[in-house]
Amino acid sequence: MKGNFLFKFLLALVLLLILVPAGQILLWSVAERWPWPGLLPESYSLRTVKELLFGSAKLPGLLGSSITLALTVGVLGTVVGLLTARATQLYDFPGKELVSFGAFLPLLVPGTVFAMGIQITLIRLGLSDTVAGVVLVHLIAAIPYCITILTDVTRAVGSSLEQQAMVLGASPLRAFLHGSLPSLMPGILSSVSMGFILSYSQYFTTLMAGGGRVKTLALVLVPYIQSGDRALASIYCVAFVGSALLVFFLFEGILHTVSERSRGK
Amino acid sequence: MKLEIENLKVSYDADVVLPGLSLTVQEGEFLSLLGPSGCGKSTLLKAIAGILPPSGGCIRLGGVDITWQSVHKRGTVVVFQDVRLFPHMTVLDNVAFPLKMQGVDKKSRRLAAAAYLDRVQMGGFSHRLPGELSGGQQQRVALARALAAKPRLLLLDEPFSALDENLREDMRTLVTQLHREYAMTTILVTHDREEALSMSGRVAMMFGGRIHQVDTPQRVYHQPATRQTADYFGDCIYLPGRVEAGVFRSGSLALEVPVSDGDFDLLLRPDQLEIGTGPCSFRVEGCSFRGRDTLVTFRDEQGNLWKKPFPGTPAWAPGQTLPGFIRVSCPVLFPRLSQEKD
Repeated sequence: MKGNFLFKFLLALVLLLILVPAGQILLWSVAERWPWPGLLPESYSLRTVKELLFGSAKLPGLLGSSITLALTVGVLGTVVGLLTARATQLYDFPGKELVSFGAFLPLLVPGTVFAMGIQITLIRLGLSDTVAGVVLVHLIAAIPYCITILTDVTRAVGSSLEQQAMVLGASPLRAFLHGSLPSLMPGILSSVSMGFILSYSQYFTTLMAGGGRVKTLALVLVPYIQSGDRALASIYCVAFVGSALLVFFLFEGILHTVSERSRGK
Repeated sequence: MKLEIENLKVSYDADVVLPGLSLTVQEGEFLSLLGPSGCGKSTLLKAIAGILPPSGGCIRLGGVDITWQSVHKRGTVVVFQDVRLFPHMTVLDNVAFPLKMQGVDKKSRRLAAAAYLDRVQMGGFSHRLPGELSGGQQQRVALARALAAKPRLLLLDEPFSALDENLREDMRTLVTQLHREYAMTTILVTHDREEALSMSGRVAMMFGGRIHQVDTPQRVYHQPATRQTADYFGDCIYLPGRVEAGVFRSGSLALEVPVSDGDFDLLLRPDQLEIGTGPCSFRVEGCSFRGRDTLVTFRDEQGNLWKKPFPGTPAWAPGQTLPGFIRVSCPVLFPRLSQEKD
């Protein structure tokens, strides 16, 4: 009884801590004047919405490129993460410990330091100021998280169902697809989401690797926050969070459909 | 199909599990691999199925060397102890899975799967998910799925040990029936003595990665080749004695045996004890009623304990001494152990 109350209290607290600032941002985004100490804005306008949709930033294009970039990072990070997780969890090979440790190295180096350092490598490779360069840099930031998520899932799922599929005549690829993949799916989705959100919210690394030529929503958003136009910054935040949530909902929908279909219903 | 294993070696890292094992299973035979846990019987099964790579030796199935063939091309189907049904597929799709892998079209494979499900009395469960079935039902589905794969060799890895006693009996009967019906070469891995003796045509006794004896259940039980085999069936009593000029003597006992002279132990089992008349005397140590019978413990003149079940409730009290004798029809002798060690 007591534990239940504590749980509900904490849940309410967490919701409050998320919903109040979110609501505030929503209000700010359409506020024209909000002088102190008014609890609500004095007047509202759709100036920011107009600016967002038809202004200099060209939202649709920006959203399109940001989401494509982040999805690419999410998917590639998950592929690398899954291969690494399977290698370390299901196989034995010399240097396995080193691979496991190496996978977490990017977490130890601060992003800014890393972005400065890798700039030189990117220039040398001819990848500076290109989308490929940005994807690469985002990937390095995302992969440790993808690996962590997928290592746990891979360990939990194991290879027993794959073995069973193989003795029943499935080739290794089909055994993976029919045996392990369905059980891995929630983990894979978490990993893609993680990679997506990490890439979606990168600012400094995008700026350094993309040289300002690769435009993302986060890249446009940050200067607005710094410029002091709170209403405009808020509407960009709404667009940022809203688009990310929309993508997550789509993921969930796809996963649901796929799992229903694989059940043959 | 006939399976021939020659000098098979398997090791995990530095740990040698099978130091070099040879075994032949005839076409259509039902062979049990019986041994304590950790003796390498499951490892042998996995090596046959190709799940574990051997470090040496040769496996031939139907005369063809399959030692290095990929798992999915061998046609060696395993039913594991932990069932391993695909949790996201219906029962029907699980059974149809091997047929799908063989490229059978959807309609025919569903029909075939339904027939196999009927055969294991699971016809009414086609559209359930494995998670909605009991342990026994899941194992039946796993069996149907293995049969649907039309295995060249069926490998059963302790498939009944997770089931309770009554279900286990049902499953044993079902597997025996199915084996008779499909005449499929089958290897059953088990540590359960009764299971191995009652189900198989031959039993291979395995200890420490080596096969000690491969023979009919009767001969494995009555004529064990090694002490370990004898001990595995429990309650052995060894009567020390000496063989001179082809006669084994121990106390008042004298038996003609076809072995050369030396110190030997005679293997005796409690079921050879006959109470009633005879030259020996046995003291009743205790009686424990078990429902269908009463287990009576006797102590003989040498101090050995004999535990034998008697029907009903015998009217013997602990401390009572009864006459009796030990029936020896075909004596089994083992060279004296202590002599080898000293």
